[in-house]
Amino acid sequence: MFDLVLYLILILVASVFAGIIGSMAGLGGGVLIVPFLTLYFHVPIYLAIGASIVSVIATSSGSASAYVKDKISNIRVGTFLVLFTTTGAIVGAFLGLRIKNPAAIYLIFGIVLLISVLPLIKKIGEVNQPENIKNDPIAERMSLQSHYHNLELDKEVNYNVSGVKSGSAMMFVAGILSGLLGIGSGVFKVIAMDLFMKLPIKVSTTTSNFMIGMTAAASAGIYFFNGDVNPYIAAPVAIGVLIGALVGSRLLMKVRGRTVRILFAAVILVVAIEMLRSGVLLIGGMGLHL
Amino acid sequence: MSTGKERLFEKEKEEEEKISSKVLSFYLIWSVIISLSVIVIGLITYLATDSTGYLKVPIDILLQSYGPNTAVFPHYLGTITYGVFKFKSFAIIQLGVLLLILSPFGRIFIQVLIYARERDRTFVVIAATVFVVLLFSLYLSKYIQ
Repeated sequence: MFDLVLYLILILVASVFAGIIGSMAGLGGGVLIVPFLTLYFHVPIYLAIGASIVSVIATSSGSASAYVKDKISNIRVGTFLVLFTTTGAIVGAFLGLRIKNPAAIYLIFGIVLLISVLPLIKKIGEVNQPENIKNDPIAERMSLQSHYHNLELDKEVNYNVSGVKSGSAMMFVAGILSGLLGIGSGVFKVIAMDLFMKLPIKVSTTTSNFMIGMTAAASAGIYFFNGDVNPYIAAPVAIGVLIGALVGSRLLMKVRGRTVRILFAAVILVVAIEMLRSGVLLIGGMGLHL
Repeated sequence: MSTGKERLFEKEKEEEEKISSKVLSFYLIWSVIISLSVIVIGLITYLATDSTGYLKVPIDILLQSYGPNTAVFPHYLGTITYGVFKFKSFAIIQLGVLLLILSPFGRIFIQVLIYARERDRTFVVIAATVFVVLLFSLYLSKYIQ
């Protein structure tokens, strides 16, 4: 019994930690849960993915609630794009469960983590308010353009939506990665909306948050009914990451600046290298028991 | 220049959107609170009774247990429901997890209703398609193995 309680607490603490780092780095907690569980608790990667994807739903729904109420997230854009992320997520979950050698998943995870560090070092969305963007014909038909209150400019701002096709394609990829790795893949959703569809950065991040829960649900059901969501792991992870995300967002308001950013980038970089190393070791058949 | 009637229409639309975002926001936060409460109740039951309600295994096995044939925890609707009525701790946790997983299903369903009320035909179709895709994912989970 002692062991069982001890590990429960350890997983909880690790999840709080992952939640704090994740939310302060703007990545969501999920991105670090899978590495933590596999590297330090030696949990099989499918179980780690199953626990992670459940926690992703909790954190994204929790934070999306506030943004939806403040009407920053563009629900029409989000709902349309969720079509592509959910189909992608189903494909991703199937790929993940079909791949019998976990080495590939470790390697992809490592690469995705490396890509996720990029926005931390060079912030995407330097343009606070993109201008002279023409509405895409598809966006025109579905009237996706909207307005929101820009806090920095302190006024109501109108914006258009372009690049719907390329954005949708990118969303499909984001969905695959979400389903395959058990992450929210918010970075890729933001890239799609920010770079391809030219939405204001605040709208992109909050709309991505709104979409993450639904995307995660599409693969979470598959993992759950396949028996890959172990309650002993999923329960402390869901609670821990949510607590961590809440603490992280509070801390974020107090500490700002480049130093913190670079510190988190360093942590994620180390974790990325560890995942890549595990993947390579698994390919090499070094007998690493994971 | 917009006519008085158009302006009235715009205002009505804004009002409706305000209500919709409130409903969605309320649903989002409460779905998390309720499902996590169920998970916490399950955890407390586990610690209080010192029993998962299922096959008892040492910690290293517990951390490695998964797959469709596992006897360490339930993962089907039937077994979970049965376990919850028997007050088995792991079944209660799984119920909470399942509620959490299914909460986005409810969210998109509410959106279908909202768009129907706003008479936005295109988005009724889009939201309904997302709902079907999500349901389809559950159906597909049978064919993994």
